[in-house]
Amino acid sequence: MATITVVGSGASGVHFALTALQRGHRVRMLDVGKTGPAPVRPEDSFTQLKQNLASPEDYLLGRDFESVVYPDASSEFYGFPPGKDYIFEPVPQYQVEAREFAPLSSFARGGLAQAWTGGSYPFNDAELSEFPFDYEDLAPFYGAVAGRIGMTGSADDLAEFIPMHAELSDPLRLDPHSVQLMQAYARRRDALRDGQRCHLGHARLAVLNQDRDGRSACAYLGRCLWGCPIHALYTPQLTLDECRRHPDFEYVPDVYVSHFTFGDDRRIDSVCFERLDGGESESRPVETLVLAAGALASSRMYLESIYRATGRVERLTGLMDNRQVLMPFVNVGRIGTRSDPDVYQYNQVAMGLEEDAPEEYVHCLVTTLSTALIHPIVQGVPFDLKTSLRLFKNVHAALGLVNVNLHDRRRDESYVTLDPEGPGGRPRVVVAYSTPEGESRRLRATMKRVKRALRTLGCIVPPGMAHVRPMGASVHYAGTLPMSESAEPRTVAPDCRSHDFENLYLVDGATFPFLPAKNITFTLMANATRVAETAF
Amino acid sequence: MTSLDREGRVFSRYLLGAVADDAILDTYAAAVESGSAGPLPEPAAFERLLTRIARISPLTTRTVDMYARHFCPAAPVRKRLILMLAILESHARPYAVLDTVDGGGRALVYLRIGGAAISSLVLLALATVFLSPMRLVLAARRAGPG
Repeated sequence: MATITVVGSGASGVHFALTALQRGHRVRMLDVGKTGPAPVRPEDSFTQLKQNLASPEDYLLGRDFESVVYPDASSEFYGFPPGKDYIFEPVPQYQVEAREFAPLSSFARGGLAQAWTGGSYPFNDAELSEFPFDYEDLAPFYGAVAGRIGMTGSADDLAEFIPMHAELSDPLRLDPHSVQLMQAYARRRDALRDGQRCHLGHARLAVLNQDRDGRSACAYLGRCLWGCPIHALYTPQLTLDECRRHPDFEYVPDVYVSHFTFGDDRRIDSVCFERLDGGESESRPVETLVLAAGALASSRMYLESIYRATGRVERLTGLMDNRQVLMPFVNVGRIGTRSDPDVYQYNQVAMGLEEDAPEEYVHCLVTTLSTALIHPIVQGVPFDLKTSLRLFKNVHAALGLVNVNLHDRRRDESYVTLDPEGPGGRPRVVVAYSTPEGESRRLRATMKRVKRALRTLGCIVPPGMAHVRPMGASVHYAGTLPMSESAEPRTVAPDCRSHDFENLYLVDGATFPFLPAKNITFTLMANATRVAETAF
Repeated sequence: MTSLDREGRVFSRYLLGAVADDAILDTYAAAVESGSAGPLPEPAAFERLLTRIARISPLTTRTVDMYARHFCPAAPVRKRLILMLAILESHARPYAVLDTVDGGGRALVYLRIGGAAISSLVLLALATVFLSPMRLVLAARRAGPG
């Protein structure tokens, strides 16, 4: 029985590992593996937490008040909860220089998807047209992952753009604001669908609507942002835990993989890592190496390995990410109504905008404001806080946010490379992004369409409040070592085996040759499962 | 009573309409002393003046707050008000006050919001008349002759 060495415990790594284990392989996983705090009072709702905790501000704002958002902060509309700090905690070994890009990295168990919002949107044939397979090939793996993690969705107007796969259960109960938006859509459906090519439907969410596998169904606690305390919302750490219960799985945490070594035959013979406790560098022999550390970190390992062996600095072109625009809105019909805190907190409604080229479909997540902290929002109102609070409490139930996602294509100008002389003489990864020509025009046109659709739904976008997020903010990084049918250097085969190293596989976003506007995590999990099923 | 205790009481009255309980006031004082909302004492004379005026009463707090929102949004006094708001909203009882819809129907809601907005603008005008010259004077004094 062969041992497969996997680097990284994010969404791709854990689903690859679990599938490989189920197919009878031994798997060793190397990981930094930072961990977060245990859930606090998991049975309490957001409101009950404020009543029952001795110091609720420690939980909500952090012991050093680090999650208070001040006017000169760089955060966007809301702060990040202190309980999730561990997800983005850096390690000194990983240094990044970024140009026109704000990269986020995670060294947590479960990776960046520990902080995801559960959006699970399969790519359709148009969006997979540059992949070496189509939807029919990937559909069984979407179904397998949905069955594994639990997923909700419905066959509504968005199904035309978001294929229906197996193992979808009924959506969660909608919060009152989302109900009102769906009702408004039903009333104005013809105008929106036919006139504006705008479609509304239930979000597809990796969340349970009934108990299973030791996890509880969503209890509408309003705590999603702080980390679902009952694991109704799926995170990859749950699959990592499942792997760790398997007798053929070896988990090696607290190590930072720097590079792999290879011989003249371009066959990898060992993987080298440093222990985070300051121990010596070590190496272990590998039979098959699977990089699943995320597009940027896997690219860094790949580049550093080549540099250490040959002294050559390579450039991996084609870096992609989804440009996102945040557009707050006010649903006029809900002004003066009470907001309900006992709801699922993330978006339950999604909106799709058709484009002439079907792969350029624009995907929008429509979040209604329920239990987010209010001080980051109130301080942005152009009045004193007293007046701003009066305004806020009367419009709270009417507030929402549309997160607009745009597709991206591989271009030579956007790339990842290595600076061999980084701080402390350690190579550092260089991430450079070049905004595509015509993007401002595209953004303006898309924002105009979203505003028009919102108006049709009875909502207004306050002037000057839309915010174009910096590149890198969506954390949907892809494209640096893409799948390709032809055996070109710095690409992988359709089964994600490297064209450069015969026993190397990449199973994360680095292998995507195109990036649709949809959240990629579900497709990362499905593709990693596909690779484990078809190549091993 | 220390100036920070007084500040906490006035600021909570301004935001809540009532003085917050002792635990919240203690948390606020500890947070300010820890430097969460900027250094203590405030480095610039005008910033210290704003804080001193804001501590007098909820009305002066509101006046200073409106001025700071528009002319010095990152002033320590504004940050400390935001800090107090963040602490208040972390507790169930104050939060209920901060986030309860005004009664009386939508027309009355619009009327109240409109009234509050107009009074804010009046305060902004008054604050600009009195505070802007002081800001210039204190800035000139700091710059010194020549």
